[in-house]
Amino acid sequence: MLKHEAKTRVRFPWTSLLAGGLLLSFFAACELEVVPNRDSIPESSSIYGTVSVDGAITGDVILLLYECNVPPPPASTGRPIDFIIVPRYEFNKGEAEFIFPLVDPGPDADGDEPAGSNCYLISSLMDSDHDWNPFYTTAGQLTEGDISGEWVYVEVFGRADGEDYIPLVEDVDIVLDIPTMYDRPLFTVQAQGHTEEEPIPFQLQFGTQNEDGDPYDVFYAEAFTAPMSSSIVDQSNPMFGMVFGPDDDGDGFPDDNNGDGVSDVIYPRLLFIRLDPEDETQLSYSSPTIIVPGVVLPFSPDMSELPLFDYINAGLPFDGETVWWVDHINFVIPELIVTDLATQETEPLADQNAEDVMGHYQIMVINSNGQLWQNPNELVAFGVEGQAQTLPVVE
Amino acid sequence: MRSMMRFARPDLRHGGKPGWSNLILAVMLGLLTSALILPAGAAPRDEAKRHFKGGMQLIANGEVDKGIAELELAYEILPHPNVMFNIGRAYMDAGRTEEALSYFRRYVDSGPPDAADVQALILNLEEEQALAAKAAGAKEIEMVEGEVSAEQMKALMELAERLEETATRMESRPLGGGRPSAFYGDAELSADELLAAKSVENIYEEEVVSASRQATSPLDAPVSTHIITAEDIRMSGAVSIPDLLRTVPGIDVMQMGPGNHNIGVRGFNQRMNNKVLVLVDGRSVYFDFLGPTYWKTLAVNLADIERIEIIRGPGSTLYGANAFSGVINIITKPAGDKNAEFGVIGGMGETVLGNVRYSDRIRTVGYGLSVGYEQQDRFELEYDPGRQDIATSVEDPTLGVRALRVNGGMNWLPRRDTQVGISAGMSHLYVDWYALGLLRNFYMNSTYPYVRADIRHKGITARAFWNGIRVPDAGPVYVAPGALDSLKTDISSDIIDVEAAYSGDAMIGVPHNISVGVGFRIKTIAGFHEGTKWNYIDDTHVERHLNGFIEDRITFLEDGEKFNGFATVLGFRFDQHPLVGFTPSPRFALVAKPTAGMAIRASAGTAFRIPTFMESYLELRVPGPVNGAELITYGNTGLEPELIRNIEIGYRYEGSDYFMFDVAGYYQRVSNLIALTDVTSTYDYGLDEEVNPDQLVAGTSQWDNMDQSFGGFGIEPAVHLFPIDGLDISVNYAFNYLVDLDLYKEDPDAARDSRSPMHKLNGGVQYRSPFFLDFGLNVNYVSAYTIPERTFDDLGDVVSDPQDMDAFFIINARIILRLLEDKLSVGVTGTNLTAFGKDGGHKEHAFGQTIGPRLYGSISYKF
Repeated sequence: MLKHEAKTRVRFPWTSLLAGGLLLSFFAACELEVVPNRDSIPESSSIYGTVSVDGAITGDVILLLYECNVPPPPASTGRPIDFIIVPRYEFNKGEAEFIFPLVDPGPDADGDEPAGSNCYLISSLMDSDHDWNPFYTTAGQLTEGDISGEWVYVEVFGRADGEDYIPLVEDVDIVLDIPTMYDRPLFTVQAQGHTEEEPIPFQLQFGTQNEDGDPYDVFYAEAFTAPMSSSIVDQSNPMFGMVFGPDDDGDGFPDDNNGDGVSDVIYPRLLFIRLDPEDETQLSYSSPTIIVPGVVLPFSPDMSELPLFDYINAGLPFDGETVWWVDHINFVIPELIVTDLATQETEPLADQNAEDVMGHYQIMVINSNGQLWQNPNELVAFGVEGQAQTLPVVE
Repeated sequence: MRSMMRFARPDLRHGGKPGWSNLILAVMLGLLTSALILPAGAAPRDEAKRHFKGGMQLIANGEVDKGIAELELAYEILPHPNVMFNIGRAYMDAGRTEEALSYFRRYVDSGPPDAADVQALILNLEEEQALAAKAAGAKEIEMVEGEVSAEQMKALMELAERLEETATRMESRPLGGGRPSAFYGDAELSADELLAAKSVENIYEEEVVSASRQATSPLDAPVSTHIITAEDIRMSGAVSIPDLLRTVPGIDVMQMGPGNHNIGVRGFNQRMNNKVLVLVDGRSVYFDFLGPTYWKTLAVNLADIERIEIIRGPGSTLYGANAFSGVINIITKPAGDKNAEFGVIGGMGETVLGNVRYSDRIRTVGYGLSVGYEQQDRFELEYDPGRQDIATSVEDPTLGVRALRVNGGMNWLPRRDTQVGISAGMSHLYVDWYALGLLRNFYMNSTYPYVRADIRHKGITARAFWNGIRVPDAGPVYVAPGALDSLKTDISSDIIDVEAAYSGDAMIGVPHNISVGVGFRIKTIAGFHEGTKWNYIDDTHVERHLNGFIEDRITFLEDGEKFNGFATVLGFRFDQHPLVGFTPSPRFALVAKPTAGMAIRASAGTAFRIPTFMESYLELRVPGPVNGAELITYGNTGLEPELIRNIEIGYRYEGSDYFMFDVAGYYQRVSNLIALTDVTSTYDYGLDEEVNPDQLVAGTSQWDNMDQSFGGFGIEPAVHLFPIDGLDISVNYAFNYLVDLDLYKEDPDAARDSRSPMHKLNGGVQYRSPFFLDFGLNVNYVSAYTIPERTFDDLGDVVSDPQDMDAFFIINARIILRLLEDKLSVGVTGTNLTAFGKDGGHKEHAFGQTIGPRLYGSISYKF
C-alpha cells in the first residue's frame, strides 16, 4: 500500500486541548500597568465654578489664571499662565459653569506634613468687542465697553494623606460687574519743554553729574494719549486713569509717602524696562531685568496743568481708588533702578556698570484697572507708526 | 517502452559550484553574526527542493523507487501538488499504471487549474489499463512473439519526440518568464507543455511577483527582495505582520502599541510613516488621506497569508506614487486551495486571536472564506483610570486593538487561458494609535471594506478594486475635562483603482518580455461631521490620478557555455496627479547570472510620494500651549512630491543545497521631504468663532517641503543556512548611514542624521524535528537613533525636541507540538523575552508605549 493511502485512526487529544486552554487562561490573567508616557500630563487638579455677569452678555467671558506671587497689572506685570474662554452661548440667565483644567497643585502630603497648596489668582473680563488676544500685550487687556471682575484667589491643594487622587477645587464663584470706561492708555512721550524748534531728546544720561554733583539729573517728561484706529488695533478712546494717594494725615492733599516732595499719584504707573540688546524685535527684556520706575506728578512742574486741583474741585475723595481720567500726564524719572519688581528692591542707577544699564528701555503705562500699554510693542512688526518709541539710556 | 521517454534534464542553473570567495565571505559573515546570536528565518522550501532534485535525479537514473521516496519526502516537508504529478508520472513511465493513476487522481483532487488536462490523461491511462486487461486474455501470444507492433512503436516515438520538443521549449523560455501568482497555474500551457512543465525542477523555486511586472525567481529579480513564507509565520508565532517584518534586512519597525506599528525601509521611519507602499495581493491599501499604513485595518488574518514579499528600494516604476522607499506585498492563500483550518491564540495582555478558514473547489470554480478575530490590550496605560483631571474618550482605555476580519473570494477558470477572480472583505476594528506632530494617543472605531475583481485572458489583464474607509469615530484617547476637544472626528473615504495591462514575449533581435498598461485612481474624502466634510480639512475633495507604464525585460545572453544569463529590465511609468502634475519614474536594471544559482544585479531608479489629502488640504485645530488657545495646522496645495533617487548593486547566491547568500549595497538621495513648518504666532486671528468658539488661535503651522536633502548609503548582507533537514539558520545585517547633504558641505562630521538606526542585526533559528516538536527563535538588535520631534516647551512655545532612543534587543521564541499527523498544533510563544528582566520592556518611540514581553499559547487544527 502506498504511503499516502495509509489510513491511520487517531484519537482526538482532548487532554492536549485542555492543557492548551489552561495555558491560555494563565497567560491572559495578567494586569495592565499604568506607566506614564514621556508626554503624559502629570496628575493635576481642576477648578470648577460658576461665572456670572452683571448685565447683558455681549461677548465671551475670558478667565485668566495667574500665580498669586506674580499678579497681573496693575499690581505687577505678571502674564497669565493659562486662560479659558466661556462662550457667550454657554450663559443661561447671566451664569455659566466653567472648568479650569490641568491646574498644577501644591505638594502632596508627606509623612506628618499635610498637603501644600499653590495659590492662584483668577481675573476675568467679558470681551464685548472681540478684540482680546492674550499673546500680545497690545491686545490682551480690557478695552472700552468690556466688563471685568474682582480678582478671585484660589488655593489648589496636593494629595491629602491617605487619598489616592489630587482633589478638585469646586464652587468657585466669579462675578463680572466692573465696566470699563475707556480704552487702554496708548501714549506718546516727550521730554518736557520739548518743542519743534527746540527739541530735547527723550533720553537719560548715564554717568554724568548735575550742578549739585549728583550722579544724574532728574528728568522731566510728559505723556499724551495717542488714539489709534486701525484694522489691527482699535483704541480710539485711550485715557490715563489718575488715582491719587490717600490723605491719611487729613491735610486735604494726598500724602507724600514716597518722599519726593509732592503728593503721591498711585496710578497710572510708569515703568521703564531695559530691552534685550540682542533682540532686534525689541520685545524681550534683558536679563537680569532692569526696571526704572517713573513718578507721575500731580501737576506739571510749571503749574500750567493742575489735575490734582481739578480733582479737588470736583469734590472727589482721596481714597486711593477713585479714578480721574486725563489725556496728559507729567512725570519724572528718578535716579533709581528696580532689579526685582516682586520684592521692590532698588539700587542706585549709578552703582551699575555702564554696559549693564545703557541701551533702550521699554516704556510701560499701567492704569489702575489693569489696562496697560507699552512701547515698543508687537505693532512695530505690522508697520504701525508711533509704537517703536523707547527710553534710551546713553553715556 | 515508456522508459524511452525521459524527464526533462536536471536544471544545472541550480546545481552549480560555489566560488570559494563567495563561500568564504558567506561563512565569515555567518560566523561573525552567529557569534552574537543565532536567529531564524526561512522555510522548509529549500529542504523540499533538495529532496525533489535528488529524487528526480534518481528517477532519471532509473532508480524509480528510491527517487519516488525522495519525492514523497519532499512532499511531506512542503506539500506541492506538482510533486504528486511527478510521482504519478514516474510510475507511469515505469509502467506501473495503477500507482500512477492513484497519484494523478490525488493531483486532480488538489484542484489545480489544469485538472481537465490531467483528467484526460487519467482517462487515457484507464483506457489503456482496460485494454491491457482485455488483451490479457489474448495474452501471451504477442508476448511469445516478444514484439511491439510497428504502429505502437511509431506512436510512442512520436510522443517521445513531442515531449522532447516541449522540454526544449521550456528550457529556452526567457529568464524570469513567469506569471503573477494571482493567476496561479498553467492555464497558458498546452497539454504537451503541461507534461513537461510539471517535471522541471522549479517546483520549489521561490517566486517573487512584486519586483517586476513579471513573476521571477529572486535570482532574476532586478532589486532586493525578501520573502516571508507561511511557514515562517507559523514558526515565528507572530501576532501581527509588522512583527514578522522585523526579521527582514533593512526594515525599520517602530512599534507604538499592540495595534500601531510604523514601518520604514532603509530609514526615514516616523510616526504615521508614509514612505512604504503596502499591497494585499497587489491591491494598494495606501491611505490616500493620511499616508500611513494602519496594519490592523488590513482585512488579512495571519492565517490567510501565503507569503509576504518585501521589495527594498524605490518602486514607483512599478507601483507609481507612494512606493517611495519600499513595497510590501502580502499575498494571501488563493481561493480554491482546498484547505480548511482554524486556530486560536491567547495569552498575556488579554490577547485573543482566532481564525477560521475554509477553501474548496467545484470543478473550475474555487472559493474560500475566512473569518478572524483579534483582541489585545495595550502594553501599558498612560493614565490611572481613577484620575479626575483626565478623562478618556473610549469605553475601555486598556484595549489596544479589537478587530473582526472577514474575507471571501472566488476564482473561475472558464477556459484554460482565462481566469476570473473576485474577492471582497472587510475589517471592523477599534485600534489605539499615535498621531503625528503635537498630537499623541488616538483611537478609531472604523470599518474598511473592499471589493476586488480581476480578469485575465492570455496576456491581457484587467483589475479593479474599491477600498472603503469608514471611520465614524476617532479622536484623542485622553482629554482633560474642560480642555479643547477639537480633534474628535469622523471620516469617510473611497478609493477606486482600475488597471489594464498587456504582457507578452517578442523576439526583436533578442527576446523581449514586454508589459504595458494604464491605470486610473479616483479618491475622495467626505465626512458625516458637519454634513459635508472631514473636519480636519478645509472642504470635500476628489482627486483623479492617471498613470501609464511600460516594462521591457530584454534577455541578451542565456544558457551560454560559461555565462548563464544576462538581462536588462527597463521600466518607465508616468503619473499625472491633479496637484503635482506629470511625474516620471524611470528604472534601469541589469541582472547577470555568471553561473547557475548566482546573480549580480544593478539598478538605478527614482520614486516619489505625492502629498496626502492631509498634507494638501489640512485645516486642523490642535490644542495649544494653554487651555484657551489652539494652533491651526494648514495643508499646502503647492507641495512638491517627495523624491528619492536610488542606485543599488546586489549579489545573490543560491547555488548550494546548504546555504544561500544575498548582499545589497545602495546609495539614495532624498529631497523635498514634507514636514511641518515652525509655528508662527498670529496677531490678527481673534477667537476661532466659526469652528471652536471657546478657543483663540495662538499660531499657525503648515506643511511644506524641507529645504534639506539627505544622502544615505547602506549595505545589507544576509545568509541563510539549512545544513540538515529541519534546521534553518538565518542572519542578516543592515547598515544605514544618513547625512544632511547641505550640512555635509560645511561640516561633514556634523552632518550625520541619526533619525534612522545605523545598525540592525537579525538572526533566527528554526528547527523542525522529525518527531512532533518544532522550535523557533528570533533575535533582533536595533542600534540607538534619534527621532526628530517637536513639543511645547515650558513657555508654551513649540520647539524642536529630538528624542533619543536607546538601542534595544528583541528575542522571540516559539515551541510547537505537532499532533494528529501534524493536523493539530499546540504551541507556546514568548515575545520580547528580554523585557522580563529589563524595566518591563523598551520603547521604540518616546511617545509610544513601553513594549513589554508577552507569552501566548496557540492551538490550530487543519481539516
